[in-house]
Amino acid sequence: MIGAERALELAEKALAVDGADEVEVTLYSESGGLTRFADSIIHQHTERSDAQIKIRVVTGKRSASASTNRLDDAAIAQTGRRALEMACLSPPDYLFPGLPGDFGASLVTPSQEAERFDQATAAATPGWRADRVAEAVLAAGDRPAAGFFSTSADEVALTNTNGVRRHATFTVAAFTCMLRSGDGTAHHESAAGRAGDIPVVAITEDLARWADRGRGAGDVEPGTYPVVLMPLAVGEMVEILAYMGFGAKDVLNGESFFVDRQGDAVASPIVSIVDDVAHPRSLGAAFDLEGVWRQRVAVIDRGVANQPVYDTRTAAEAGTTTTGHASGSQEYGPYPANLHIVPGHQTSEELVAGVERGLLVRRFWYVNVVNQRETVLTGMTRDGLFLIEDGAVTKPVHNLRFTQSVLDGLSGCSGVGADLACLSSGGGSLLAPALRLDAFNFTSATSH
Amino acid sequence: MQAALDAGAGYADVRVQELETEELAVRNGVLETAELATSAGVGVRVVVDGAWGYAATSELDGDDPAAAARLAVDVGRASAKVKRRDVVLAPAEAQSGRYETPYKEDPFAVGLSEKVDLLIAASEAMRTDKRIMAATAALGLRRERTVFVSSEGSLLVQTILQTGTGISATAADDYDAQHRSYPGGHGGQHACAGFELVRNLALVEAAPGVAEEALALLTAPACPVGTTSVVLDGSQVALQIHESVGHPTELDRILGTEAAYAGTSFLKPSDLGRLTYGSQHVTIVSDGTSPGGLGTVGWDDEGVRPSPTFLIRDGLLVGFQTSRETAAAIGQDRSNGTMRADGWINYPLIRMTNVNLLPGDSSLEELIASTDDGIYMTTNRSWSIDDMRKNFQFGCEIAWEIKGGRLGRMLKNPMYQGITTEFWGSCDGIAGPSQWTIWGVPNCGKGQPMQTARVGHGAAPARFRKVAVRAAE
Repeated sequence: MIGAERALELAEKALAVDGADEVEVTLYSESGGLTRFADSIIHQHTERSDAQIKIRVVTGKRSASASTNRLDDAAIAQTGRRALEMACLSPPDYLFPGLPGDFGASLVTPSQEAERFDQATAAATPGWRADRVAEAVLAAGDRPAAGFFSTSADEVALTNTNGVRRHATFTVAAFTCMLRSGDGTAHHESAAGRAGDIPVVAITEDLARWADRGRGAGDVEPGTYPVVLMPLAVGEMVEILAYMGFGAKDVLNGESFFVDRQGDAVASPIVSIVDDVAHPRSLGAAFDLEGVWRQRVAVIDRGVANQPVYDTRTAAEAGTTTTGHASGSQEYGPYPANLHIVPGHQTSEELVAGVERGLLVRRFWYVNVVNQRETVLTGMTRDGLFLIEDGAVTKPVHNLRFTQSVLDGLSGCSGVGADLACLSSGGGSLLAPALRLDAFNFTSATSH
Repeated sequence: MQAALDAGAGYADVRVQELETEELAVRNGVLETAELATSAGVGVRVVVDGAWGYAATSELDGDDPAAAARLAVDVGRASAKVKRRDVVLAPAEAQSGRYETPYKEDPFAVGLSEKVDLLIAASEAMRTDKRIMAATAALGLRRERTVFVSSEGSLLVQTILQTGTGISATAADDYDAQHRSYPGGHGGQHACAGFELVRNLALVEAAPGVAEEALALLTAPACPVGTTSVVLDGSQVALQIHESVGHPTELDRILGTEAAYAGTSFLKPSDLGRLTYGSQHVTIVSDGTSPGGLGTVGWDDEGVRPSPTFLIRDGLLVGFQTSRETAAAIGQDRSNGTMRADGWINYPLIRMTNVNLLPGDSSLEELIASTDDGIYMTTNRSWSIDDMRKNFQFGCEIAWEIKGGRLGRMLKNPMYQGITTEFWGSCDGIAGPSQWTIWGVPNCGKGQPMQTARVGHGAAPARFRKVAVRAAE
C-alpha cells in the first residue's frame, strides 16, 4: 500500500506534462498473496506486489497513454512525455469528448467505503492462508482437495486536470475448493471483502456432501430440460452475457442484443440484472477508470432490456451521458463491474421442488460466445450435474454440453433464489442467486 | 539468490525482467488505443523445507533488494505446513548464455506515424458499406528482457520480441451481425518476429475482401445440421491442436495440479506409448525452438533449453509437455523445457511453447477436390472444451459447402463438435509444407493467479471425416 496522501501526491505530480491540454493519471497498486493447493498439498504459493502509473495525455482531439511501474520522478516525467509524443503523432478522434470533470456524487457512503478495506485481510500472511488451507484439507477428510485461498489489498488514485481527484482502497479475499470423492466432484468459489468472512470449514463440509453425492454418475441423454442453476453456474452465464451485450461498445458495433431489443421484454419479469457499486456486498472502488462515480444501472429491469452501460467515449458516440463504467480500455469499452441479479425468495430446495424431471447444474465450465447478437452460449457442466425427479434431486449424471440463448433461457425463468453468492469478476464482483429455468438446451454429452 | 540460500532455501532461482509493450488499435478510421507500457520487477522462486515459495516485487531499487528473496523463503515455509512429500526436481545441467529473438526490422523503431497510417488505411479500406459497423485494425508489440540465475549455476540473458497484427470487419443489419478477420481470429497473426511480419501480411490489400465476406455472410444460408466431412483451414487446425492436444498433454494437468481450475486431462501417465490419439496421419511435436513461433525461447523459466518432443507420432501418444518437477514425478530424467511465466510477477507453469502438427503430403485444393460432400470452415470464432479435454465445440467465422469436390455456397455460423480422440482418429489428410504456417495464439489462460501465455501452433489445412456440424444459432 502506498497510502492516500502519497498516492494522490504522485498522481497530482504526474499531471504536469508540458504541452498537454488535458492529462489523466491512474495509479494502481496491489499487494497480496495466493496459496494454491491440489491433491491436498500446497503446490504453488505466491506473495507479490506491484504499483503502476498510467498517464493519459490529450492534445486537442488526440490522446494516448503510457504507463510504468517505476514511480520515481524521472520515470513518471518520462512516461508523461512518451504519452504526449504519441498523442501528437496520433490522428484526431473528432468524437473524443475530452476528459470528464468532477461531477455527481459517490453512491458508496463513507462508512461503506471504510468497510471495504479490512486491515486483517491486508495483513494476512502466507502462514495465515496456509492455515486456512490446512483447515479445508482436514475438513475434506480422505477426499483430495484442490483450490486456493487468496488475500489482496488494492489501492487506486485517479486525478485529472479537470479537477477529478479520487482515491480508494479495498481488500478482497477469495476461496475456491474442489473435492473429489471417487468419481464425484464438487466445487465452490466465493469472494468477500474480509478474509475472516469466508467460512472455510463449513464450505468444505458442504462440498464433501455434494462430492459424495456425485459418486456413480450415469448417462443422461442430451436434450431440452428444465434446470435449476446453482449460483456459480448463474454467475458464469451472466458474466459472459454482460461481456457480450451489456457494454455500449458492443451496441455501437451492432453486436449486442440491445441493438434491436432495447425496451423489449427479453427475460421473465422476475429477472432483474443491476450494476450497483453501492450494494453492501459489492467489491471495488466507487468510481470508474475515468474517475466518474459509478451509477446504478438496471441493465435488465424486470425482464425488460433497459439500457447498456457507458463510458465517456461511447456516451459521446451514442449521444448520451456516461454511467461511470469505463473499463480503462477504449478498445474493449465500458463494462459493468458490480452486477447483481436481484434475489427472489426461494431456497434452492424450493426451486428444485418445482421441477418434475430436469437437471440441477452446480457449475458451468468454458462458457463461450457462439452467437453474440442472439446471446447464444456454449459450455460444459462440471463438478456436479444431478437429475431432478418429482421435485427432488435423485442421482448424479455425466456432464453435458449446452448450447443456449441466455435470454431465451431467462425468458423461461420461473424461480429466483434468495441467497446471493459473491464471485470475484472483472475487477469487481458479481452477485448471483440460483435460478430455475423452464427449458435449457443440452446438445452433446461426455463420459465423465 | 544468495539471500534466499542464506535464509534456508535448498534451491532458488531469480528472474529479473523488464517488459515493454506497445498497443495500437484503430476502429472505423479512428485511433482508439495508443498505449505504451513498461513493467519491471523480480521474481524469486525457492524450495525450502521441501516446498515451493514464490515472491515477486516491482521494488527493484529499494533499500533492501534481497527482501523478495527472504519473503519467498517465508512463503515456502508456509507451504511446508501442508505437504506430504518433498519437491523433487529432475536434473538439469547448469546453463549460461544469451538468446535474442531473430528479427529483420525492430517494430519499436518503426515510426508511430507509419504504423498508425497503416492501421487507418486498413480500417478505411474495410468501410465499403454502411452496414460495416466496426472496421478494426490492431498492432501489438512486446519485448521481454530477462536475466535468470539459479542456485545450480545457471546464468541466462534473453530478449524475446513478439509482434502481432490483424484486421476485422463486423457487418450488421436489422437481423444479424457477422464478423470476418484476417489473417486469423484472436487478433490476427502473432509471432516471435519483427515488423516484417506486418509488412508481409499486406493488411490494406486484404481489407476489402474481409469486408465483402462479412457483408455476404449477412444473407448467407446457415450451416446445416448433420454429420459430414469437414476441411479446416490452418488457423482453425491450430486452435484444434491447442485445445485438444496441447492442453491435455500438459503433465501438470495430467497429475492433477490444475484440477480446481483449468482442469485435468483424459490422459494418464500409463497411456504413454499405448493410447491411439489419432490416425496415422497425425504427428504432433512440442517444439520451443520453431523459428518464428510465438512460444519460441532460448530457455524456459526454469533455465531448461527446450528440446523438441514428439507428443503424438503416427497417431500414437508418445510424449508429454513437462517441467523438472513433473518429469521427476513420472520417472523421466529431464524436463523438455515448457515452464513459462506470464511476466516477472508470476511463477512459471507448464505452458505450451509451440505445439505443431507436422505437415502431410496433400494440399487444400486436393483435400477439397477429393471430398464429395462436406464443409470447408475457416477462422476460429468460438471455442469450448470440457475440463478433461474430451468434448469440444468450435465455431468458425465462415464456411463453404463442398459438393462433388468443388466449393459451393457460402455458409454462416458454422460449428462442429466432437470427442478428441475420435476426431483426430478421423483425420485422413493434411496439406503439405507449402501451406503450413505457425499460428500464434496470444491469449491462452491457465493458472491461479490467472496467467496469459503466448503460444504457437504449426498447422496446415486438414480433413476430418464424419464430423457433427450445426449452425451457431
